Amino acid sequence: MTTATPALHPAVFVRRSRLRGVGENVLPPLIALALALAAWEALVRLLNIPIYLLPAPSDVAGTLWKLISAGFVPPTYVGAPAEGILYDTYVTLAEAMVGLLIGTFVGLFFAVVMTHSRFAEQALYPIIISIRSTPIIALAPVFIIWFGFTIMPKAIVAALATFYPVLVNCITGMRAVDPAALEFFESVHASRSEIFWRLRVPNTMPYFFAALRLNVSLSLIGAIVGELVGARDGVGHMITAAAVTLRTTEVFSGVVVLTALGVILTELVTFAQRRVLFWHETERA
Amino acid sequence: MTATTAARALPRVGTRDGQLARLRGTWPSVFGLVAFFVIWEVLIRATHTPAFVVPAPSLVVKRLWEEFPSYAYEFSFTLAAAGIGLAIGTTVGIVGAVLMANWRILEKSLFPLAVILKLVPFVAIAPLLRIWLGYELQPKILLAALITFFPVLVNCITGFRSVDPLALEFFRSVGATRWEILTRLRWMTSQPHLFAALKVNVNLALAGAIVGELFSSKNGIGMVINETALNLDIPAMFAAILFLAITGVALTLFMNWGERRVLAWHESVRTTR
Repeated sequence: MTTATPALHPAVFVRRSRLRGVGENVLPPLIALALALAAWEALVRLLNIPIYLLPAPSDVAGTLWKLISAGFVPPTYVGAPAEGILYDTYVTLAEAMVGLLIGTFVGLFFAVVMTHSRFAEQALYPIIISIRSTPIIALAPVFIIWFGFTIMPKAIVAALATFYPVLVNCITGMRAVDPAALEFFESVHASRSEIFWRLRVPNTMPYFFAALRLNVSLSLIGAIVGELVGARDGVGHMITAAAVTLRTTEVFSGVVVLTALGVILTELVTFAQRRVLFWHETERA
Repeated sequence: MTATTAARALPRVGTRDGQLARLRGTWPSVFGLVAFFVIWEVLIRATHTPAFVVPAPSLVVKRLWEEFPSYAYEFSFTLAAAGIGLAIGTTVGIVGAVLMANWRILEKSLFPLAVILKLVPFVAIAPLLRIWLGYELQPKILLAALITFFPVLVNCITGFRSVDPLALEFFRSVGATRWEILTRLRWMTSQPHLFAALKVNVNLALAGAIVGELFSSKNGIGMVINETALNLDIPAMFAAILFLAITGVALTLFMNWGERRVLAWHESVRTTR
């Protein structure tokens, strides 16, 4: 409560500089983006590039608008041409999030096990490095054979793509506690669990969030790769179906939607990090 | 015995002790790997799981032994596509970062876009690349280059920016030119960031090449995986994945070794040794 008063003054300054920051930081990239899109549009129009090879941005925007305004429509039959993209987006998002959840919990579990036991760390490390070094994409066909065209193969690919950053960052975070703080905890006879919950866990949070921010886009990529190999719905499936029938504007629409999804999820993690880690120096600075 | 030989003998005993300690340190790792495969084998035999669902490791190793020459041949295509793509992505990324470091307007306008474009799932355009570039190496090279370009660019710039302000002030005080500051100061500080991107990119480039091959290929280990999956020849497919796991681990170890060599002067390497 007492810290609220001194925080008022900086807040005023932050508000003002943020307004000026919009003009300085947002305008140049927007202009660059507009120029790039205009150049792309001009190139396609001047060279008369056929729409199935490379559509102009305006064509993509038209298709994207059509696909979004169609609303939440599941496909009428397997392999039906896409009517709307919102349902596919929902499917891909669900697959990615289930995978992210599994990957995060598996990563956290092994991080705790490996920081508590030197033997477990050394025994598990080569297996984990092997899994990480194997291109997970190569495993996607196996999971499709095991689980069919369900959500599971995509979620597992997403989980395999995301567990490693969580694991490594959390191990680093749990190890990298301030030695002075640790000594203090020991001097007041804190138990192992007290040291874990009150020192190691808070210390791990910034590392955990860094991994999470990376992982939201990795989980999306995992889900998409799973869908590319075999699926009935989802944006990845929509893209493959559209590419096969040369509906290239739909391919680009799918990529735009996936990128937007990645940006939104990354921003959400940044927002959550700011709320949770308000006490940490990186957020206060 | 003279004093010199005794003195020489002492460190030798010391190193042997060190070797013993290192052996003792590695046995849990060996145990872990062996246990993993033994449990897998026993589970398969105990439950009579058919080989087309999950093959036993002994069967996978046998198939890998038989198929090794052909897999190595196919993998050379994958490695070539990933390697060329990685080289292009890295070079263009570094050139872009240097340009942005020299022209502030470029950095202001393009860096935020690069941070967003880093999130584009380029694997999704793999089906499109087949239409654009056909069935040879080119689509895989382009995919690997696209995937690796943005991490290099973003990390390189982040490294350029993370210069110690004191060092920068010192360089300016002795009248160093912008170019000198870039090559002698900023380039050095960006090395750890660059290597971090490179280590991730080796795996990403390989994955990109394999995705490209899953979709359209005459050659490559991705094509092998796709074909064995379609034929339900799961032992051969697992053999291909095992092959990728072994080469992947070798590449990771090689990158770690390279990092220690190149960044020998950097504290992150010096303190872990």
